[in-house]
Amino acid sequence: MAREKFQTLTEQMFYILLCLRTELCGTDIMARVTELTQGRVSVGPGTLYNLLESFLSAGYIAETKIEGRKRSYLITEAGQKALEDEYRRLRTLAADYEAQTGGADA
Amino acid sequence: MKNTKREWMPLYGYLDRTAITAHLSDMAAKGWMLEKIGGWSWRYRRTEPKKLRFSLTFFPAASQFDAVPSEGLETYRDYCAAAGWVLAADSAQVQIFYTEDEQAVPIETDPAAEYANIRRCMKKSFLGSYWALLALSLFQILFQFYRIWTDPVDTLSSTASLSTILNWLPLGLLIIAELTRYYRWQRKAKAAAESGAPLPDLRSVRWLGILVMVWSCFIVLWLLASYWNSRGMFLLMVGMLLYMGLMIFLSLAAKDALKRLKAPRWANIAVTYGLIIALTVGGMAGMTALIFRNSGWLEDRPTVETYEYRGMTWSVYHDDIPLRIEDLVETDYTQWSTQARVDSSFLLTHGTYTQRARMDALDQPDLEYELVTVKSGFLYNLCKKDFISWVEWGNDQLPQEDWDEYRPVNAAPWDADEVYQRYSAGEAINQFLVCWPDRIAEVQFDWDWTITENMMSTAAEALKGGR
Repeated sequence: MAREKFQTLTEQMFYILLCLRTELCGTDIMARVTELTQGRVSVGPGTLYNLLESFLSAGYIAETKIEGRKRSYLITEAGQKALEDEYRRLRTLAADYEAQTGGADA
Repeated sequence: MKNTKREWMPLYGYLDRTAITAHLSDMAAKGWMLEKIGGWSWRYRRTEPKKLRFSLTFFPAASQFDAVPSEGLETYRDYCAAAGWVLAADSAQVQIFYTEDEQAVPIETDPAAEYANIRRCMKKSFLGSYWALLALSLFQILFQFYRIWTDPVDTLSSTASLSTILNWLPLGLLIIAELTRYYRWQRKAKAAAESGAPLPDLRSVRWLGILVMVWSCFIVLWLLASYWNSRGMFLLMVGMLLYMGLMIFLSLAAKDALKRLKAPRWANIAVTYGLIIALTVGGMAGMTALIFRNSGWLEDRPTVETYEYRGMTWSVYHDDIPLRIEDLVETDYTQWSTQARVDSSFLLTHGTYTQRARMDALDQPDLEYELVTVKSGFLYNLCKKDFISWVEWGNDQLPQEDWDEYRPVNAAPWDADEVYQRYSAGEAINQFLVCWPDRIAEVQFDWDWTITENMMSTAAEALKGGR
């Protein structure tokens, strides 16, 4: 089940979906993630390929343009929902943390 | 100075990625760049010594039958190239890349995705074939043990049967060990992936690979040595080995030729597997035809002469046999045919001996006996039971008064521990099972002889100490 498979997103999944809120081709995604995270997160090419394939088959992203071997992708409604679910989950974690520590160390 | 170099039998498991990539980096530092990988050898080309990083990854959708990389694989390689990774070599699903950039982002950065990818790849390749091979080896092992249980004398005295067990048993154990190692690795890798840690390696057990090769050579040499004295069987074995080699060569050549011709994957699979099936069926049919049309070359010993009787050709043999009709009764007849067929292994020696008159002298008596020398004491009762079972095998279909059975008789004339005589429907017939400490004889005297104690002791003297 696709929904079960991506019940929580790894950091790399999260950022790939986040980047694909605007149309991007595969190779651009790697650069965009690094840029977006200021080098904190890098997506390796093998990981990128496998995750794009998984997202496509789960319906989280759709192919928008094919130019030779260059394919561009855009997030779908299902992908957007997964991204939002993950965001809410992370916010809940952060909120729980803050409630316990007063956010002093954050 | 040679510009290429081969490493034969690298014996690395592809999941031992740290060891493989470290080895390839060492080779590159010495000026040898990997350019081709295969099961038998890896090929390198001479280059400038360089400090390179290697990475071994898996692409599950690739196949050894692909003439050209699929679009997906090309895209995968494009992504790698964009990240600074250059393809060094590939073999089906295995892709090996290198980079000069020490800061290049690793090809796999998400252990969870990497783990799922490797699992998919192993399911498609290694696991399927290993489970199939395990099923086949278990079938072979169980079948051979079933044969030992139901026909121990013939099975345990046959080098071919024993070599089958000695082949399949270690292979079965090896596959179980490899599968166990893989599933243990899978469990650890899953835990690592879930915690975001790098996946562990599945260390190569190179000594096991070497042991398997040495063992296989030993089995082949042992099989050939055991048939050394039987020209026909020796030639048959050599022929079979050469044929198997030819089959492997032709199927690989067909696969490569179709790849060169850019045949699609499905066509290559169909032709290559079709060829393997055709060659296997053809080889078996050819071997069966050779055995059935055997004109004497398969025999251990030559036919001494032949004669015609009622339009058919009959063979005459003069094999040496330990007990002859002339030893037991007086006779003027001289045109006997004597045959001895002896199979021997390190566990048992089993001889079947016959003495018969020619077809135009059917009034002459017949003599037939089997001798089993038991070299390992624990098999003695199993062999004895074998002879008794052969006599009794159809009794469950008959009323008790019609049973065939061995009944104990006086062992003294045979100088034996135990002697049994065959009874058919309650009537004694001239067939005896004689048990000496390490030897069992089953003797069928001519049906209308009256067996005296003198004949028994003559037979015992010849058979107890005979071949």
